[in-house]
Amino acid sequence: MRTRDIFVSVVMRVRDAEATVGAALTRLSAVMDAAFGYYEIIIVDDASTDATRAVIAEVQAHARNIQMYALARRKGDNIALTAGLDHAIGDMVVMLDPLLDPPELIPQMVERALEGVDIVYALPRERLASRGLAHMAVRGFVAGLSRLNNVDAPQAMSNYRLLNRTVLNYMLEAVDRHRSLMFLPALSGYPYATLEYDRLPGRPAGGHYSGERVTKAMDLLFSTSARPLRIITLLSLGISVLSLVYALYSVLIFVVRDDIAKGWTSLSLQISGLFFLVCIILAVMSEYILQILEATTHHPRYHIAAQRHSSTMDIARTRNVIATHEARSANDAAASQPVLQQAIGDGGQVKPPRRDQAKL
Amino acid sequence: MVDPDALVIGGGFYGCCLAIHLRRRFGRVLLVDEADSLLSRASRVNQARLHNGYHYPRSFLTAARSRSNLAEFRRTFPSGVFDDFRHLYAIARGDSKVGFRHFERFAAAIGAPLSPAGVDDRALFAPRLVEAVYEVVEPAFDVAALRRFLSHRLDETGVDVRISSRVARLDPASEGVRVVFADGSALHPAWVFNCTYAALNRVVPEPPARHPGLVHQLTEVALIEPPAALRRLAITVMDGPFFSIMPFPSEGLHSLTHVRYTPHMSWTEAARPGLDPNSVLQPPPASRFAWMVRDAQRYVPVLGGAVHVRSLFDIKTIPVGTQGDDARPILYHQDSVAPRLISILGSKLDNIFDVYDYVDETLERA
Repeated sequence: MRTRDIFVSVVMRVRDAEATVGAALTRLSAVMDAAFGYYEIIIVDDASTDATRAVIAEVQAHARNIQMYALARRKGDNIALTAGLDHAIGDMVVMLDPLLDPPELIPQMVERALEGVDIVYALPRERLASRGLAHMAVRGFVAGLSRLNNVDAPQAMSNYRLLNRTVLNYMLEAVDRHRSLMFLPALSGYPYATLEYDRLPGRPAGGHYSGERVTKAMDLLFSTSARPLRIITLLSLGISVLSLVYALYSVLIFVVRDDIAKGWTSLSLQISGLFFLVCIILAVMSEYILQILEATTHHPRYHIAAQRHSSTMDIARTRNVIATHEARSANDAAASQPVLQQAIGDGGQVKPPRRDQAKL
Repeated sequence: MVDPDALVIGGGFYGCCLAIHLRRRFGRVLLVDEADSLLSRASRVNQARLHNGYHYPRSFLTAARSRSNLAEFRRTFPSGVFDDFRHLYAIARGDSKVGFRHFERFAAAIGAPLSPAGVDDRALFAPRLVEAVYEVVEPAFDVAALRRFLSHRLDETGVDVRISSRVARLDPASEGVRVVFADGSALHPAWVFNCTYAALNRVVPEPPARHPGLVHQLTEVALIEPPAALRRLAITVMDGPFFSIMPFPSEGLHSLTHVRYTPHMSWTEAARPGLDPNSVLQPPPASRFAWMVRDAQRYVPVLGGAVHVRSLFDIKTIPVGTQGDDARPILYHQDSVAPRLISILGSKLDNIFDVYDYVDETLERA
């Protein structure tokens, strides 16, 4: 089986899951052991306050290739998973939630990836079809984010996905990768495939703290695209033009009407002038911020998915012959292919070509 | 056979050196080993690194000792020192227990030569994961050359050597120790020095309460054909769960070892009293080269071109309670019932000189 030669890393995050993580890890370990010759399971403990770490250590005593990284402070989903991905050594990496995502799907995901795609998303069936508010919100958000960034991504995506090393390397280059983690594979533009699966009943292994979803959504929105900033630039420019128009209008009224209140014109000019100035400053600054953003996030400008060189020869085949005048005149009629001539000044001395060179 | 004055069990580096040392004092010294050649086990299956201090930025004392030991090792075993390569130490970014400033100050403090690596050398490393790269002076040893040198010295000094000879057990006896061999023969030497490393407690008499506490580790040294760019180069990434690649002079290959993947399993003797360390070696475990090279090539991308030739497996044994640091002390254990039975658990090769004083003191007191 081809999959036996592929090194697969599984990356997950847990927090305060002492009751459930042991069984989940044992199940995952059994699947990996049966399907793959080379693998590792990376489990990032997000500063659990219960016995989660001890439970993991118990599993490690009998199951091989499990690595635990314990964060010193609670950092949330994205940063914990980033830590895991940073340490993964596999040719392919699977991210999952050990309590929600059935590990039995992993061999199938690897099979799909081997067919030539770089990303395999596992889509929870409930999220695909559900009319529930939360599911629709997720789908709508992903759809909006895809449109904003002009990329293609399955709307029902979950954290459960497989990435190959190429995609992972693309992600590791971005310094702010923890913000856009969930969407970075889509941003990479590499081809993807999807699988459907049924989630296990249960709660996420990490839990959520209040406002986490909103924070994550904001992070995703603002870290993946600089378009909001561009919109601000355009808005500022628009308002500055309007301010200018308003200033002209005030002057015009001042000239043609004489029943205006005392001080209205100067106040109007003051306000519109200042708004003009402030908006111009904002527009200029937001453009520079855009450049700074581009420079500091180290998002690669482009990624080359493949390259291929033309398979013909670069230079048309030529004869490596220096023809003297006599030789040329003698061969002129017979020459069916172009002969490379070397400029030798006006009739300079040239050694007659050696036999083996002339032969070609 | 005439009873020897001193019997050394175990023909590793420590056993050989000790036998030669004892010959100055005793008329008849016998060295026995169960394998069919000397220096064939733990003395061979390791990184072949001759420490020059750089490895211990968190212990000045260990580092300073390493440096003075290396100087003495060079004087004593000039043919065993392999210098024909450049050694790079890289400080990892993020996961390292030392920063590059710390490392520079530390090297200056112990007086170890350290210079920033050149552009070509630095280009071997992924800047995202490596903070700094230095060129250092840290040689390797050639175990084949050491074996030749020691065999010659054993011969020259008149130590009797018996290979393929297994000691079954030791019994305390009046005036010394009775040694029973696997073939049924027995000897009654005045002194017995047990230098059997992983088998240290196998031969000594019961009860285990009298045994020194040992931790065993099944370790793997992967021998590789390095990519061309690394042929005359050693690389050590510091300081944490990283890896090193070094020339392995006796085989003309490089060794690849990884702090996380080289130890396959580890157990204390107290926890698994019936487990013979050597039994773990058969059948040889599956190699972890795939793990080692995948992690290593994140730091040094050209290592992706390394070719795994084969792996050496052996047991690494250290005293209980010393797992936490790298000081690797030698264990010197005088049996309480049979005081003429001395068990010595060697450590790094270049520590050998520390043993002689202890042995001399013990012999003088008797």
